[in-house]
Parts: sequence; C-alpha cells; structure tokens
Amino acid sequence: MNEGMLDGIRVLDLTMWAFCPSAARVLAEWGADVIHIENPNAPDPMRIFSGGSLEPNGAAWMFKHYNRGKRSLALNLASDEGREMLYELVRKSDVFITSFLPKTRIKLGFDVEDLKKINPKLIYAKGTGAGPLGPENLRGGYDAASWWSRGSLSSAAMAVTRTDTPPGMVGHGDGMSGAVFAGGICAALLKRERTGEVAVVDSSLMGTAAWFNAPAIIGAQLAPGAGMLGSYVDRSVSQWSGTWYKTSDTRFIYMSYLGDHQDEFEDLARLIEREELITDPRFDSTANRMANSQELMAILDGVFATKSLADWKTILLPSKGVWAPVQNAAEMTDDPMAIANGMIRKPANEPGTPVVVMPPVMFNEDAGPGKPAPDFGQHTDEILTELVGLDAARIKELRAARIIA
Amino acid sequence: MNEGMLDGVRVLDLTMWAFCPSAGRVLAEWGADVIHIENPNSPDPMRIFAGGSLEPGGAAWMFKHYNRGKRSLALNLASDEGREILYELVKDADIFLTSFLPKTRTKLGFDVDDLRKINPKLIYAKGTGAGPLGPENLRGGYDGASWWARGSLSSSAMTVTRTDTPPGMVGHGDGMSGMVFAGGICAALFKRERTGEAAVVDSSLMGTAAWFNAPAIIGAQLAPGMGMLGQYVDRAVSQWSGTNYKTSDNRYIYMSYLGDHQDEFEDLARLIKHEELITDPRFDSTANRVQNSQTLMAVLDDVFITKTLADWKTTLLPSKGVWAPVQSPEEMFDDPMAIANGMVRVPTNEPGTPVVVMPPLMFNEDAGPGSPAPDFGQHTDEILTKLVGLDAARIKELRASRIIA
Repeated sequence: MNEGMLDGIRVLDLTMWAFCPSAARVLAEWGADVIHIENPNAPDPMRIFSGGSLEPNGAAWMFKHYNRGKRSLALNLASDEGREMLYELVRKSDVFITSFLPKTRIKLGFDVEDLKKINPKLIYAKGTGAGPLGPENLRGGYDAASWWSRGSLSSAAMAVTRTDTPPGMVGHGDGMSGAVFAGGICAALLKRERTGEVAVVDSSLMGTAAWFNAPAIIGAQLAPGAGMLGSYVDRSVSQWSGTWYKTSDTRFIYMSYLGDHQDEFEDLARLIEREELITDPRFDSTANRMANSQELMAILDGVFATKSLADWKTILLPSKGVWAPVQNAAEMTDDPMAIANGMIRKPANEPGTPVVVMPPVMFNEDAGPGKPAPDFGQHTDEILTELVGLDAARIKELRAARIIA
Repeated sequence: MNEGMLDGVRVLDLTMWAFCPSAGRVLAEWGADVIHIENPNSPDPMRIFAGGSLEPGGAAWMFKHYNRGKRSLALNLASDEGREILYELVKDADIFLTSFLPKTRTKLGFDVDDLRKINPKLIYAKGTGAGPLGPENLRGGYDGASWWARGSLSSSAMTVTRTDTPPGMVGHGDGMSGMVFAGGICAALFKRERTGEAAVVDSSLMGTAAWFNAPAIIGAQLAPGMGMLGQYVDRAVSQWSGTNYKTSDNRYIYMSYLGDHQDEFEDLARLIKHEELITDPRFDSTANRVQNSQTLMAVLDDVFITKTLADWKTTLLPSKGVWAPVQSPEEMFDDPMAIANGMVRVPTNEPGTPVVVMPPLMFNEDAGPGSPAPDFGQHTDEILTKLVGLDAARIKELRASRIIA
C-alpha cells in the first residue's frame, strides 16, 4: 500500500499554467495537503485554456491533469485582507511553491524574505524558465520557449528527423520539469526534518531540458562521431540489435538487444522460427553478427514484414531480449503494463475524465489513489474555516468584496 | 550555499547502464554517500561503451555523466565472501538502489526480503523497464525500447515531424527517468525520517514516458481536435504568438507570447522598431491579432528574416514577452543562463571532461559542487576498511581471489 510519503505536509501552491502546478500535483499524489491558490478575478488560465470553464467540473483537461488531488482556494492577494489570510496560511504550511516572477512576488509581498519572516521553517520553492541567477533572471518562460527551443530539444528533434523547420514538442516539458522539481522539494523536506535547516529550492524548464539532453550536449563537445543521441541515425550504419523493423501493417517494432548476447539471439531465432540463423556461420557469434549486421538486418526485415504488430507482440512476449512496439499515445491506455502499474488508469467515478496519468514513482508497488482536480474555489470555505479560523459571516463578507471566491 | 540535502544518507547503488545510475548520481549530487558496486569480472558495461576503458580516467563519458560524485566498489556477489561484505554494508545503508531483474536479485540474495532481514529500515528502490507489476514484470527494458518506443514518444516524434520511420531519440530517457526516481526516493526518506516506516520505491522508464507524454495520451482519448501536443502543427493554422520565425542566417526564434497580452505586444513592436503595428487596426487588440494572425505572422516573417539570430537575441533581450532561440546542444554551454545557474559547467580540474551537466535543481540558488566520477574500484579499499572493518591482509586475499577489485 502507498501510505502517503508526504502525509502531514502542507503545500501552498501559488502557481499558474503547468510546470509548477505539475510539481505540486506530484506532491499531492505523494500525500501532501496542497492548496492551489487562485485570484478570484483572474483564475489559473489553464482552467479555461482550450475551451475549459470555471463551472463545476468544467476546467480544461490539462488543468485537471496538473492539479489532481489539490484543494482550491480563491484569494485576492492584492487586498490587505487577502494578504493577511495568505500569511496566516503560511504560518501553518511547510512548502510554498510559486511560478510568479520576482517583480510580482515583491509587489504582492510574498517573496522569500516576506514569508521567511512569518515562518522561518518554510521551504520556498520557485520554478522559473531559465533559473534564478544570471542576466535574464527576471524574465518569464514557457516550455515551448525555455525547454523545447532554448533547451536544445527542438534542434535535436530537427537533427534526428532531418526536418528543416522546428517541429512541435515531443512530450510535455512542463510536466517533466514539474516531476523533477517535486523531487528536489522532497530532498529539502528531508534536510529540514533531519537538521532543522531550511533551503530555498529552485528548478527551471531550461535546466531540466539540459539534464534531459545531456548526452547530446556533452557529446557535442567531443571529437566528431564520438557523440551519442541527438543526431540522425542512418539505418544502413545501425546494428541489427538496435533498430526498428517494419511489420505487415506498416507498424514498427524496436529491437534493443543491447550487447547482443548469444543466448538472447538464439532465443529470438527460435521465437521467430528461424533456427537456422543460430548455426549460420555469418551469425553464429556476437562478433560475426556485428560483422554481418546489415545482412542479418535484411533477413529480419523479411521476417518482420510477414506479420502484424499484434502478432509479433504475442510471439515475442516471452523473449529473453528487450524489444518494444513503437506505440502511439492512444495505445498507451490499453497497454497491460501501463494499467497494471497504475501509470494510466480509467477512473470509474469521474464523468468526462477518460484517463488519468499518474506520477511515475510507486511506493510499496502502488502508484497512489489518484484523486480528482478541484473546481474553482471549491475548498475556499473549508480552508478559511479550518486554517484561518474565519466564521461564516466573515466569509460571506469577503466573498461579497471579491477578496475570495 | 548548497549544503547537501542528503548529507549523512548512504546509498548502495547496484546498478548498470544509465537509468538507475542516473538516479544514484542525483542522490550523490544532493549530498548522499553513494557507493556504485560493480562486478570485478564484469564491470558496469557503460564504462567501456563506445570506446571507454577501465583505466583510471578512461571510462566512457556517458558512464562519467551518470556516476559523478559516487565511490566505486568492485565486489563479486556470486561468492559467499562477497555477499557477506554486501550484507555488512547493508546494515549501515539507508537506500539500496538496483536495476537488476527479479531473477538475479533472488539468485544472488539481494532481493527485498533478503536485505530487509538484515536492515528493516532499508529503503529498497528498484528501477524497471515497465514496472514491477503485470504480465511482463520479469522482462528487462532499455530506454530505446521502454521509454522511446513503447512509451509513445517515438510515435509522437514521427507525428510532429511527419516522418514515416521511427527517428532516433530526442533527449535521454534514462537520465530523465533517473532524475524522477531520485525524487521519489527522497520522498520515501522523508517518510522514514518522520514515521520510521521504510517504503519500497519503484520507478520505470515507461511510466516516466507516460508522465512526460501525458497531454498526448489524455488528448488521444478526447474528441478529435481536442488533443494537444504530439501532433503535427501546420504553421498556417498557428497563432503568431506561438510559432517559429526564421532569421537571416537560417536559424529560428520561437515566440511564446502566451495569452497575447497587449503590453507585451506593444513592447515587442517597439523593440523590433515597428511601432506602427501598435495602432494598425488589424493588430491593435488581442482579439484583432487573433483574427488577423496570419497577416501579422507574414509581417513578422519579413522582420525577423532581416537580421541574424545573434542580433535578435540582443534586440529582444529586454522584451516583456517570452521567446527563445532554437538552440543546438553545442550552444547550450555558451548560454549565459545555463552557466550562471550551474546547469552546465566547464570543469577546470578534470582533463578530458569538456563539460559537466548538473541535475536541474538548486538548493539555496546553488546547483552543487559537481564532483568527478570514480575510476573502476577506486574506493574498494577505503570502503572495506572503514565500513566493513577489513584489514590490509584480508583485502589483499580477497583481491587475489577476484572477490574484489
């Protein structure tokens, strides 16, 4: 059972869009009480992006994905009352995570020093486009700019595909960077628990892209040809053991027989019913297969072209070596391993939510409960009653004044 | 200053290749004492991959990247003496991190229950291709297969670039998955610190790919056209505020003026010296710019093509809106923000190491010291003397019988 690694931790999540919200979702999935704070007059734009709305359950699906398991509080920080309520919450919180730029943090009174004065034990976590230091540290960032373009991934995608214009993004830099950011916050929580010392935690879209593309970035500094990843791979110079094969239904299987071990090759030959390859003098050892790789690849091309991807998936299931179907996004939802490990689940009790994707870490072999995302201001009354000690009359007043919603 | 979030934490890192080693490196960068354990007779294959060697300083650069800051112990676990030494180390360790498959873990006596008997407080962390549960939970995985192909990223790359065969990988799934895995391990450490409960932590290449590609995976289940990311984006239907512009030297600038705010547009018009656009009735409000987006894009195409990328970087530096150069991997370590924030650094004291890429987390605005990777067996004597209590004579004996190296 997943017992909530962060049970008892409270996170104030003053974030927008996707990168920092995604970090806070991971913390929520791991057991923290995460309060997503939005402006009553200008909610998180992700809620209404691409046709979403503020109606109950009406938020855009991307908002839901990056805000599951949180509570929602709508609080106007430009008012003195709103700021005082924030400070009251800060006293009762462990982590403050924000995506706001320094200028806004200072103007609205929630920069590091402001909040440290109120709660010296607070872990302050800020997500940025390109880091808190350096000549552009006041500039904003978004994933397509800071992660994909500046972070060298768009250029790597052009290189590996030989396209001559920058393509759309593969995967989502915001979500990936947020999952990493959450891990750093956990490290800081551990340090505080052990020593009482409190760190300021920073993570950036560009920094996460640099880590992701590190083999290409380091490789670019080596002698030509010594690099790895991020370059075009011509199949005519590939090894049979690390390439794709086309099936009869124009799908692809990727073979990853790294190291080309003899037992794995013999096992493969048996599974595809080509046992003669085992004793073929061109292919009877790792060294010979390497020397005759293109010939072997041509034979395997002939074999794989005879059956559909579905057939090959069944045939290769017991193989000793590593392979995978080149699977599309729609197929992920039906992958038996994705389902068994809770990477992807179909919720029974959330109309209009076809599929939930969970953070990729399991505790005690359980990916966690996976709760829904909050409606706009859904928990305002609950939070202000419980944590700020307001009564119903005061809540009504504040709502009338648009300080809360 | 980065004070080592994981100071005092010891990690036994019985891993190979890149995914799980990368998790170990992140823990090392964050202050843990990480001992990378290798077989004296069959070292981590990443050391000798692509021309590396076992000579001091000779390991492949990919090995170095994913093993910086660790100590190296060469220990044969197939021998009784070797296993006893491992168990002795387990007694004082906090984390046991492994990439080995269940069959090997059982055979060599280091599966969860074996080690929990010796140290009930041990956090056991296992990285897999596609998760510890489900029908294929005994199979191995590599990032080309489990992350890129099966995890739906290869297919997304084909779609966004309109290529008809699976391309090479963009970024490195091993490094990214290891980074996330390290975060989960920190969450489990925190839980243990608070409650004494020790969790088993799992993370997988495929699960991390699912998280990364979540918007495409969820989008694939929505009504056609509702999806986002993972699709080909025809520039003819793009908004001016979220697309690429070509420069005079055939490079690209990506504009990410999300929300198309009026003040940001006016600022841009001034920076590019086309103030007449501000009052142009086609472009004088967000609504009008959305309406006449293709016209504005054509105007901007003609503007951006007049200068080089370097010129535009200077011109646009003070802009209010978000943009970025489409940067190549080699340009990453001339990027002033990458350098200022310690994402990439050029080490002065490591001959043959042109550039170091750091984990994308800063504690107290410091990315950490960045120590070198260990040579093969570099710390065997030190570890066995200090942690296992062996004397020089015994170490000599064990080395002679290839139980250590």
